Formats: sequence, C-alpha cells, structure tokens
Amino acid sequence: MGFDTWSRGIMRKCNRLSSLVLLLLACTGDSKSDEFGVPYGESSDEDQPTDTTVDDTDLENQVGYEIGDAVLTTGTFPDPPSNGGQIMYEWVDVAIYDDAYAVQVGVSGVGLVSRVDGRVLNEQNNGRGYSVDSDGDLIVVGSRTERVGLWRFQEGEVLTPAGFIEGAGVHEKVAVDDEIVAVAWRNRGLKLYQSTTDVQLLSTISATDAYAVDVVEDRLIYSDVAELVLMDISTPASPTELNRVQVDSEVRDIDFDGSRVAVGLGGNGVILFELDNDRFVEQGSALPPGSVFSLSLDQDHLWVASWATTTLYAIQETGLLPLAQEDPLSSAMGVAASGGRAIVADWYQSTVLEQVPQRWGAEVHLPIAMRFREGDAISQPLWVYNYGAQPLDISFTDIPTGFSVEHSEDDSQSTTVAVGGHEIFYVSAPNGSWAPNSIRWTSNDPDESTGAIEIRPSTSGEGSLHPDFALPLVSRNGAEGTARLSDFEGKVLFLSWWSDY
Amino acid sequence: MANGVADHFENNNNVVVLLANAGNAAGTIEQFLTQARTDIPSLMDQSESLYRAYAVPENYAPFPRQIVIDQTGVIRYISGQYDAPAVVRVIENMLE
Repeated sequence: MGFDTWSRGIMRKCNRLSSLVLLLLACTGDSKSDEFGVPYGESSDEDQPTDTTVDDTDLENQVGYEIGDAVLTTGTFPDPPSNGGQIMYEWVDVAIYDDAYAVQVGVSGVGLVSRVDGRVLNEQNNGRGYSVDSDGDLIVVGSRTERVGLWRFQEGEVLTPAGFIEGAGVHEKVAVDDEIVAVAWRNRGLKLYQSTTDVQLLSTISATDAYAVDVVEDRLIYSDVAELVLMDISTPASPTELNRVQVDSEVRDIDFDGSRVAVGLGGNGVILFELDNDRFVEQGSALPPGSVFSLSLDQDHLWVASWATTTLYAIQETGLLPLAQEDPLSSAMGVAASGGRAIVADWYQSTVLEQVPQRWGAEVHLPIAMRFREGDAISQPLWVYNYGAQPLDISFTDIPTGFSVEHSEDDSQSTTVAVGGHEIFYVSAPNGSWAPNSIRWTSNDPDESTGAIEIRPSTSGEGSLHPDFALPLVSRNGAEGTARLSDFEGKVLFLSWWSDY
Repeated sequence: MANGVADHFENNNNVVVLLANAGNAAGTIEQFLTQARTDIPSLMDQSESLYRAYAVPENYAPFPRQIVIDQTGVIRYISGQYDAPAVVRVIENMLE
C-alpha cells in the first residue's frame, strides 16, 4: 500500500512529455501482449484470492514458523518518491546474473543492477527490452524489435554487446544455459541457437504459439498456447519431445530449476509441477491478486510477481503455502530470486526483497481511498482481502461522524478474514455535507498493523451518471463512425483517456 | 494498459474497451494508433468537451485517466493512475 499517494506524486512531477511517453506505453502492443511486456492473462472467473491449496488445519500443523513479516523490502532504486522529476526507467523483466548482480530490461534497454540495493550500475541501449535470461555468463535480451540482444558482463561493471539474433516477427521469452539460447518466436516456433562463436541456428521446434521457455542443461520446457512441452536437447540440433501437459490457460512464464516447473498463467494464477522421470506431476497452484506473468523458483520457495504485488510461497507437500506479500512501489512486472533474495522489475524502480526465514503472517489488502458523492447516502462495498498465511483480524476505528462501516453479515466493525479469503463491509456516507476524512483500521498483519482509508468527496465522479456523448471513433484504419454512450447500454465500458500533449 | 484490460476481457462481449483522445485531430490519432500497433479504437474529442465534463480528482495528472462506466451509464471507477489489476477487479465485480 502507499502506491496511490506516491503515484500521484510522480504524476504531478511528470512534465507533459513524460506523460506522453507513459501514454505511448499504455497504448502500444499487439492484441495479444502489451508493448511493455505484459501478456495479460486470460479472463479468470474472478480475481479474488481463492488459493485453496492451504486450509487452516494445515496451518495449525505447520511447525517451525513464527509470526512475523516473511518478506521485507530492503532496497529500491531510485529511492522514491522522486528521482528528480524524471521518469527514467520502465523495467519489465529481470534475471539473476550471480549473487551480486541482476540484469533488468525495459523500455530504456538493458541494465546491470546491484542485488544489494537495486542500483542501476550500467545501462545499454537494446531496443525495447521485454524479456531477459542469463546463465551467469551470457545475457540474452528479448525485445519488441525483431532482434534478440546478447550481452556479456565485463570487468568494471559494464555490459558489452556479444552479438544478436535477428528474425522476422514477434518473439516473447528467451532462455539460456551453457551456450544454448532458446527464443520463443510465437507462430514461427521455438528456435535453438548455439552462442559459442558466431550465433548459429541449430533447430526449430514448430509451434502454434510458442510463448514461454526455460532451459536447464539437456532439458527444455516451452509453452505452446496452453500446453507445456518437455524436450530432450542433449542433441540440440535435433531435439526430441519427452512429454507434454495441458494447463488451464495460455502460459505467460515458465521457471524451471531442473526438477520443478513453475508456470505463470496470467489472470489464472500459477501452477507448479515436479518432473518425475520426465513426467509432469502437479504439485500445487495458487491465485495471487493481479496477473502472473513472471515467477522465480528459489530452492523450496517460489516468488511470484503479479503487477499488484509480489508473493512468496513455501513449496510444501500440501501445495503452495503463501508466506507473505510485498506490494510494489510501482508495479511488480518481473521477479528473479536466489538465496532468499529477490529483485523486482518494479516499473520505475528496481526493488530488492528479502525473505526472513521461518516467518509468516496475515497479509491485509485494502483500498487506500473511497469516494462518495456529497448528499448521496449511497453505501459502497469495502473488500478486505487476506493474502497471508495466517487468519487476518481487522477492525475499523475512528469512523468519521455520520459515516458507518458495517460487516455485510453481522453489522460489526471487525471480523476475521480466512487465509486466502475476503470479507465485505459496507461503508455509507451521511446525507448532508461532510469534510474529507479517513477511516482508521488495525490488523494483526505484522508489517501493517494500522492504516487508514481516505474518504474523499466526489461531486461528479464515481456514482454519478457519465455525461452522454456522440463522438467520432477513429482506429488505426481510419474513421469508424460515431460512438454514443447509449451504444454501450447493458455493457461495461472502460474508457482510457490519452493525449499527445 | 488499455491493452492489458482489453486482453483480459477479449472474449467477453459484455465489456467494451475504448481509448479516448482529448484535443487531437483524426490524422494524429490514426498515426498514434498505428505507431502503437493497437487495435483498440479511440474516441475523438477534439473540442475536449467530454473530457472537461469530468471533475478532475485533486492532484491527478491530466492523463492518463481511466474510467469504468457500468451497464446503466453510471461511473463506477475513475482514476489517474495505472492499475490494470484494479480495473479488471472492478469490472469483474460488476459482471458478477
């Protein structure tokens, strides 16, 4: 939490040009994936956390955990709230290089990043960086151009170019291990390259839509629409298929550590497999808030970045146990971790997260503000989520005069939210006029034991009728006639305003 | 971000995603959408009359502005920040 306030600060500081840059990013990309690397998940029935892999009984039987915050933010760069008013970075993906360094990619290119404080040590132009992988030697950067960049890290903390792979069409994720580079070229298939001297194409595995890929030694796993395919690449010039498994929806990311396979499914969460004699055995699944397009296995833990938050899970025999979440400063676009330390490609920042071993707790998630029309005593639902590993106790206090907060079932001002569950309160405003205020809350979340929801007036915003309109509609193919508000009656309309000034 | 929300509801006929432009002419919008390689069409509000009809939340930058309108024409969400998951959640709650 705290994003709202910070974001507004940054927005205020944006000059018009950087607002435009932001907007260009907002609107770019083909119909399947955003320009800035956000392959948004297929629609799930609901985005609420419905992780059912752990129930309260399991929790009581867990030993060795103590109550406390399991994930801490220990570094961020640039340090918010301001980096001098300039938006410098729009990071979308990150890979571990070694214990000291990570490599991050984004709109501004490729950056060498300190794993201690997230500081960007060196930055090079690589088109619009989109995905990245490294085996601790070679760094492979997928981009939104038709070029895959290869980089090496030289002494003096400088990234130097080590060649490139060029091909027609859009590519998505990339992977590298021991001089074998894999690139997912969507409908052009999955291609394997040798990177020793001159980059050389070794083989092409045909696919309907190759999107995500990872390689460990002689095993490669890639996704083809909603299928995971395991290949033996001990002879990389002629890979052989060993197995495949169907998942719920299109795959957006794969992390493979040689035995476990973590799979990001966009809005459908995450699914974890274990390879047993080259067969996929499901080990658990989870549905964190937001959309999963990046994840990272770290021994017996799994880090998941889902825009809205970064979640740390313990991998247990019973499935994925959510230990804690840490909200990003901007947006958790990508995550990579090793040794209990993760680095998050946090859009405007690089953020370092650290696991505190053997800790777990409740994790509260609430809106930062609610808006009411003055003079309109409409009540609004307030959703309280618990994304943590322990039941969440929440109480609302200091409710402004005339306002009320009532639990949907028993009208009380406090409740317990089950692990992975949510509860609904209703907040209502007084009939007469009122001043902006806030509702305070307390919880048993170890790092958010207290907080406030701002109450703001809205004279013609939320809750009011949208002004009628009849405006020309323009697509990239030209004029598309006139659109009227009434055309959309019975449908939900999402309007995203932009301008070039 | 509009793409993120659009992709999420790609197969849902009950959700419409539109860009909306304030101040520009058709040629500029067309060029922008082409450069952006987006298939999402944009409303053209050259006079900014619709744009100015909103009460701008205090402290928000003029753009982007994200607005969710329900099935009966009521504004259910208005924000000056990027939060596609929040928009998706708001819309999904409205579809329940």
